[in-house]
Amino acid sequence: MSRLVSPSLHVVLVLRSNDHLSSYFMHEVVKDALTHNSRNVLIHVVSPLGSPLYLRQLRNFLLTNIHLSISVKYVGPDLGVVKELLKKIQDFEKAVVRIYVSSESRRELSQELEGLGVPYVVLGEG
Amino acid sequence: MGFEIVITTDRSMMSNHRGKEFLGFMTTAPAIGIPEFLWAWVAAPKVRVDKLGRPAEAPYGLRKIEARLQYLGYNAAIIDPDHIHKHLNSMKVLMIGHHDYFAYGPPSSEWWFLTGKEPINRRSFIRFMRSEAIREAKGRGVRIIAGGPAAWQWLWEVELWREFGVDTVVDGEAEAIIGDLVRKALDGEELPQYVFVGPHEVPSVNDIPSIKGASVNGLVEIMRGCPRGCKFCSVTLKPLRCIPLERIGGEIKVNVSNGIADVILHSEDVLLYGAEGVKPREEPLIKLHRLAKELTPGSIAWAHTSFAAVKFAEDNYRLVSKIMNEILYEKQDYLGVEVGLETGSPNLAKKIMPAKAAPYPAERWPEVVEDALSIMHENKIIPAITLILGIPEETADDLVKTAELLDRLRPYRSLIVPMFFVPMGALKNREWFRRNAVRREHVDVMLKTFEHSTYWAEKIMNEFYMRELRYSVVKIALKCFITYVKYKVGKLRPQLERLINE
Repeated sequence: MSRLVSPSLHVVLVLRSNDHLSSYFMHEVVKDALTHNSRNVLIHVVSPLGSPLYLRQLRNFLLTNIHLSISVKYVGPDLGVVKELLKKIQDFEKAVVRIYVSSESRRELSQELEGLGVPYVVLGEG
Repeated sequence: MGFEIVITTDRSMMSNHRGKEFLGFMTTAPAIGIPEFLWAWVAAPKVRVDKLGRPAEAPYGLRKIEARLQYLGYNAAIIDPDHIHKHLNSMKVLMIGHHDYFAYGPPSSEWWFLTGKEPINRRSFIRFMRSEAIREAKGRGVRIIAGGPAAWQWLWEVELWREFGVDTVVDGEAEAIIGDLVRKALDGEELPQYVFVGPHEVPSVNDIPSIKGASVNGLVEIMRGCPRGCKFCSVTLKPLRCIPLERIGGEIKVNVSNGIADVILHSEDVLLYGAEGVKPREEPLIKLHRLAKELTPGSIAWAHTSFAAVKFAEDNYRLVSKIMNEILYEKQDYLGVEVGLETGSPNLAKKIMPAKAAPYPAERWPEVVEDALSIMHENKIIPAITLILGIPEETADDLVKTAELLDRLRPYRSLIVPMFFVPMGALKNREWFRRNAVRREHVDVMLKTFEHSTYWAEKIMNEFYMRELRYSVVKIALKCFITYVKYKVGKLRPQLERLINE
């Protein structure tokens, strides 16, 4: 069974239209992967740019990576379905989940983010 | 009969390039001096197909995916791009591969840059994806998976990604994941949009399938990965794996039984097959070439080798001479291969490719190149040599060193092609080489490679390449092209020389 069926580390990434990922995100994901002894990461992306245009926001990150096996899925333009996604990952796959949000997202979506009931890391703020 | 999984690519790839790999490079340029249809006719003619549209020979990477899926029990086959419509009723997944989808790789990006025109491979691929058959397939809910060595280029073309309705792009060696991905696609499950296969996930030798149908011009993989660790190269990020002789022989037999008389031994460095680190060994190479000679009615070519391996093999075992003069001499009087020069500067070599000269020190890189080229010239091995312009950290002095080395290489039979830096491998997050970064030293190097290559191209065509009568028309077309380009460059020369001397 390949990691496409059962990835061991899930990352939920919440971005706004103008966000582009910095090298900080790369360091964090690699650190997470090492901490959890995983080299297979599935990234779920929330972005108002829509699919597949949001991949522009991940391009530098994806092109910088040479170590990890990475899969990327689009979740939607807002946090609407993230709660359900988190529940599914945690209940059924028993996998590790990390949530990263851009500082722009935190400003715009602070209430919804709190509503997820899961801690998150704001990119660029450690 | 129709196939559930159709594997394909556009015409610039689905061609045997008239049995001459080097003609395939013409698809990386725009049509120059002649109409596009004529250019494409020379470079990428249609291949023979059966009634289902299965090509007699197909790109090797597609053959690997086909073999893997067939091994896993899927109803999959490679179909020629002109015959996709025959499978619209059965097709559920369309898999596409390419080595340069959007012409961002070398040398396409360089041609684009120099001429300001989109290269044929890009135009051909976009035209294919906009064809009626593909639109119809998408309309019927067929899921599209794209992959191959140029998968990364989709990240620069997300608008086209959306327009074509590509579901997933897979970047990396796909053997280990392709089965699950296709199953998900067939079951209608949600697919990841982008999949990068990390180095820990590449298949072991035993998991690399053997091709079931013929590959273009008899290409057969003998090794994957490369131990040299050059920073600009993506292959070097993967572990080294040698394919056992028995399986190489099996693939050659598949090609021969399908009417492909020649073989191209494919590896990043053929002379490192069975090597001790970067030191070629006599026994595995002799066995490999004897096997290829025994099984192949036609000629043998190498995909790539390195100057360092040529020098080491010859200096220590007279191995190059033995292969050419004791094994292959009955079959052929020359052997073609691609070799990376990259730079003539030892300083830059130390920074970006410290092990390229190994087992010799990087400081001796120019000497290694000259010695190896002399060995190749002597033994009628004809290299197509690439060098990279615009590598990060390159200085004017590095370019002067390259130009000086080019002067010393003039007596050696070869083609030298400059390529602009494209961010790949460990440098894949670095800047592309851009038009405004061209210095006069770059122009000097480009002119020297032009003079070298046009001088040797005509000699090579007359004495070695395309001597058969059936190539007469193509040869005339190529000679006209060389004359035309010489004329154009001649007109530009005073302007370029002024620039160099300023």
